[in-house]
Amino acid sequence: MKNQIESLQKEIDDFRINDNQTLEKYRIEFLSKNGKVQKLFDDFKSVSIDQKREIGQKLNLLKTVSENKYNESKEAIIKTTSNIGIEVPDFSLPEIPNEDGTIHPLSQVLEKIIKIFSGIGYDLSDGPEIEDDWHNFTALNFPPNHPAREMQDSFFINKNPDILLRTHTSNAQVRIMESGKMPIRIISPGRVYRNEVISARAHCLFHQVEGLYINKNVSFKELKDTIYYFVKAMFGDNTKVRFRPSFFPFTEPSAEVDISCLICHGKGCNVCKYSGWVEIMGCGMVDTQVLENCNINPNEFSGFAFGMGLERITMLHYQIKDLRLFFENDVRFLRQFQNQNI
Amino acid sequence: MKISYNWLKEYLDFNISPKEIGEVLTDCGLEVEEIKTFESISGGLEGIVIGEIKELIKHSNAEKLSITKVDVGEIDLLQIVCGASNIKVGQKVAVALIGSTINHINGEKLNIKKAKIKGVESFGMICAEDELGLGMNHEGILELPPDVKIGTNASDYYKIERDFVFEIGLTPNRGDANSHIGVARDLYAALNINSNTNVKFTKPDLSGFKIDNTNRTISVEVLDSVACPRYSGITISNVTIKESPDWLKNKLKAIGVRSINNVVDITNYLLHEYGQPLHAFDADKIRGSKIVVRQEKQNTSFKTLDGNEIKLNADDLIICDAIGGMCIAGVYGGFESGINSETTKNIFLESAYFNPTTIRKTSISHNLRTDAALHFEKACDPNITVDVLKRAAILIKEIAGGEISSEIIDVYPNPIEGFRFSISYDRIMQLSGFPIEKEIIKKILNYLEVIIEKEESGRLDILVPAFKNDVRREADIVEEILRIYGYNNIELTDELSSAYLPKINFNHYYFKQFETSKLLSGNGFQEIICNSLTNLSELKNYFEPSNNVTVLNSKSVDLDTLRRSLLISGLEAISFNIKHKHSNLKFFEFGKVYEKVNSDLKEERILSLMITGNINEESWYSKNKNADLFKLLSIIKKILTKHGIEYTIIKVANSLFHYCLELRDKSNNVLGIVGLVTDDLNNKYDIKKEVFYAELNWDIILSLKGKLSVYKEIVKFPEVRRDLSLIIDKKVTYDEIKCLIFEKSDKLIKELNIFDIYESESLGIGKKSYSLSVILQSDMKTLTVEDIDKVMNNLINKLELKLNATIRK
Ligand SMILES: [Zn+2]
Repeated sequence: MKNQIESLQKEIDDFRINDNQTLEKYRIEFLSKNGKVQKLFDDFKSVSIDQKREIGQKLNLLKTVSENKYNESKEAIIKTTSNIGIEVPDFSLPEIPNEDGTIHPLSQVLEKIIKIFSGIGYDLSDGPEIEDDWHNFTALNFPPNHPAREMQDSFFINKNPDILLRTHTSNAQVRIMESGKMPIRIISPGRVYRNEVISARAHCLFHQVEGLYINKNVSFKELKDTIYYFVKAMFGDNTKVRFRPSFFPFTEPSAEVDISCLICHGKGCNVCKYSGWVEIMGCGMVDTQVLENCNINPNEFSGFAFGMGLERITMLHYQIKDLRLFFENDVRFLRQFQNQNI
Repeated sequence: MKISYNWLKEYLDFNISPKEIGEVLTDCGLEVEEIKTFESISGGLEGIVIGEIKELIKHSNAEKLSITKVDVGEIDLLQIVCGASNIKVGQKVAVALIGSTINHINGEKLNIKKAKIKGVESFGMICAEDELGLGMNHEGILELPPDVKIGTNASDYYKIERDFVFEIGLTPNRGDANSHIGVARDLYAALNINSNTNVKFTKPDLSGFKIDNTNRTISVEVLDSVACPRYSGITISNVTIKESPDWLKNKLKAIGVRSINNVVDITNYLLHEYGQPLHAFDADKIRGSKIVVRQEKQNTSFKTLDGNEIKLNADDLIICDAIGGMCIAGVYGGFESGINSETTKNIFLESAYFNPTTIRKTSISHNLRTDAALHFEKACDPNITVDVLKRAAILIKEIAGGEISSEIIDVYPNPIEGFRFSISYDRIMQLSGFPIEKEIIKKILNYLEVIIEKEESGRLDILVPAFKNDVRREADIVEEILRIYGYNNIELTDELSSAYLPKINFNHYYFKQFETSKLLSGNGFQEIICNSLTNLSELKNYFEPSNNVTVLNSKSVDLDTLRRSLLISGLEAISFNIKHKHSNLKFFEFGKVYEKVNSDLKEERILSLMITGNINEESWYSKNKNADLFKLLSIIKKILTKHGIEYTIIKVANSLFHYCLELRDKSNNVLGIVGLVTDDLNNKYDIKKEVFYAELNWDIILSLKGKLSVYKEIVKFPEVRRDLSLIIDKKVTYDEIKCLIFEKSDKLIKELNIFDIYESESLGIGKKSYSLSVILQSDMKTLTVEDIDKVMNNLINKLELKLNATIRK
């Protein structure tokens, strides 16, 4: 038996593998079910017990060596054949230009906001940009001569009756409330106008996303829960939120919402004017007068509303400091937003 | 509104840092925008000491300079070069030491360093009054009394006061907090509810008020008690009008109020303490010793405090004497009746409550936006006028001398008690959404001076004080409770109690926009967003002006018309980028166009597409290709296919374009247009290259119910392709060939394509060559050569016969 192993070892060593054919021949001759190595294993059953240990070791070694030879030869053949006549191109050449366009940063941020609110059952709603006084002001509890009207400077298309470019997307809320179908749970994104001279910090045009939820038993706590959900989804779980009591004609109680500064994380920097906080939106419980103006019984229904400036959220998100960049459409600006990781 | 930390401490006995107080104020609705440090002398005279001049010699190189040796309490005398002419040996002076910074009264700062002046070393500076920030005087150095101890710190000598000032952005509904006492009230409530401290609220002590005599009684008559619900007054005689004491000047300076004289300063002080505007008249100028509150005739002339002549409105409320107007009530004083430091001996002090709307109207119409008017507008407290008079009288006697020489006159025919209503604990719970202990609710109301008149079966009957004129309904009371409880103390639970199943329209405009934007950006298009306000005056030929929607009051004439087409703003964007050396552009925009049709103001959503320059980036990989019609048509095809919309294209006339194509669906809806922009328009925007523009009527496209994809069995039998080169007349279109081939369609022809177009004179004059590929397939069997030849021969015959085509071999 020992001799047989040794002579087979020699035979294996001498077998020359040059190509795929000889490789296959080798496999059949030595490694297959009917091959010579397997044959020795078959014979091994008849070896006397005292020799079993020694012969067994030798036989196992033979098997390993013969299999290694097969694998190594196979690899060598693959290497040599694949290299014939093929050169590696100069892969350091600049890549084929990425010709993808980009989606405007305002649209990217808007899509994320819409997705976040769709996730908790908010439908979309919109109203016209050219609006009458009732839907833009009066229904929203801005009575004539009220100081709150001074806060907004509007573009008028017509006076008496007043037709103007809407100063907020709340007109969409009035319209859906007037439609009378309860409950209401919507966001209304859209373009709004203020009669301002264009500068880095002010523009005659910007975009808002406002939200409205009206149902039985809607509470201030739910408003807070909703805003927290939004902030964490929009800016990350580690973002801190602060509510500040404030005033809007169309909500009561009202609040402004601050988040921990995205740049310095609350330590203080010039973006947050060293306060650690940046303001992102206003919100509150829909004023009972507004509900009544829209023929909703405030004793039966309550609701909350919130509103944010899309440009402001986008500026915070991308650290953009000049509002004008959004509407100049400079491709040197727009092309920076290829990464849609927002 | 500026609120002083030190003032607040006079009313509340807290021991909490300004920063924390600032946070508490913000949390209860008085937003602290900034906290500033105040020093009664800016810089606090840090590093400035009192010294004595021991020696003095003239500088040899400069006649006006002296070289002094000054004792500042150190071992060595300091050598200082000084240019003042009033300098003398033995004077006590203020010396700025090396390393200190002096804060000049004009705001400039100067760091004191060791210096060499005309060759002589100088170790500090002897200061003049203005250099110390103490006053305006620059007539030589400041000389101090001889008994001041050498080495005393100037800050100790001048008893510098330090304070912190909160800049609060007061919202329009918070007239009740438009004063230090008003702010203290909120702070008192918030501190007692939210911290373990027990803070006491002490309002100014009025027990010292005593009427000395009634020698100067002035009668008051109010003719319009709607505009003036309450009018109170008092006279004080034999006062001395002069400069205010330092404590008062510093108090006002801290909150940014300039000192005038003792009496005016006291009225200003009380305005900011109580929020009650006071007006001081020279009692001797009140003709007839009588005050009448009434209106004047329209256009009556009135000379104001600053000497201007104005014309009064018939509804302006005027404080008159027996003869005529003395003062525009609550807004501005008159030229004659005011107090004057030289002549005034006796004063009449007015403390009134005017109707906020009356004051606002008058203040705006005359553009007199005074502090008093701004307070009255936000509504003051009608019930403190007498208290404030008492406080004022006590202070005037203390500071300006004199005696109180009348009873308090008080005309208040219909006292304003406040607002009564009731609210239940259940309602509070329902609106806030979480339980607040009854005791806490009652405490908050109590701290805010809301009186609970009755509590019965879960309901509170409350009386809201008159100064809270914005608290009239249940929701207002809930806000009062919540803002003191602390919005930030409301615990979150991650669950909404009033949930319901949503109905969301996923075909909404925005969802479709985002899908399409991804398709477009993936195809190299850049989204732009343009201003919808523009100027169309140069484009009258293209857009009929009577159909423009125009803004009446734009602050910028360039932006007074709403855009009629996205083309115009798009050309502006292209022009902008070409100027910045980027001329290969592919843009899209989702936006609205606006138009006036008869009296209707219409707005419609449009998707615009534009390309110019090369359609690919320059690269080693592929050749540049110019923008053309087909690139735009292919992207439109992609968009409309995604919406399941089939369409046909026809040629139309449109003055904006060299040529223009219109897209229509089967029901003849116009889906959009495509065209090549005219040179005239290009020139207006300085664009040299061709611009291809398309717009899709997005509202119409979204309103169409597009075809849905339906699965068809995959055919088991193989496709066969046959190529065919035709020589045809140039005027024959691909569409004609296609119609012919599919006409009385041989069911075996599945697809037709064109893979080469060739034009050459060698083909014959007016000829071109189209190379077609025809795909044949049967649903029933594998096609034989005979089957295929039969179809192809038939097809060739038709082409030869109908289109006069020659088949190239
Ligand atoms: Zn920061």
